[in-house]
Amino acid sequence: MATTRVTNKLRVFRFNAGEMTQAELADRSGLTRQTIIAIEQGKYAPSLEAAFRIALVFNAPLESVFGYEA
Amino acid sequence: MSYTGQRSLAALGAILLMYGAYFVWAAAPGRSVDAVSSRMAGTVLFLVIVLVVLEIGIAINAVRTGQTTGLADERDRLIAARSARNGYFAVFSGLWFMPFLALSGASSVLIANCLLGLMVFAEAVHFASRAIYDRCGG
Repeated sequence: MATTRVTNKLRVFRFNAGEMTQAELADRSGLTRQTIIAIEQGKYAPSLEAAFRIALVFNAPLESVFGYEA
Repeated sequence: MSYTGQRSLAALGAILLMYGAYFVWAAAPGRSVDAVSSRMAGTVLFLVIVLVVLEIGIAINAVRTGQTTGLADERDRLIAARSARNGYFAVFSGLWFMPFLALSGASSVLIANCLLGLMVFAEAVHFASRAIYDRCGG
């Protein structure tokens, strides 16, 4: 399966947020743990809404959490 | 493996085993219509029972290991839609052939088994797709 060009720093933000677990991030962003895992591994690009929800969990701007490889 | 991945693989395995055994039996020459219809109905019924038992077992194991079982997010819906689409293509790939088979004078047993085989193929493609997409990220 092709990886996505949408990059992310979820692991860094989770660590900085008191070592938040993937399950905690999933619960707080309304996603499943498998989806969070797939996003972190670059195998899945979240929808815009899901990306905003994840950024909101970390109280960070969207572009600081997610990027795009041209 | 995720809860949905386990469910997909279990369904795929059960379908291939149960219907595989049926088609091996049905391939033997000289099967009467009554024998085929009763065996076909019995296979479907037994498969339903097996699938229910498997689903219960997987759900119990998921709760025991703390996996999420009820929430379906955007990725799950996307995987479900793509898998259903693949199943549709699988059905459509063979369905167009069925009218010609019927018009060629094929027996009702052969037509029924071909239709069932087509449905089994579509379901296998559907569940295999779900398992693969779930594993590879969606």
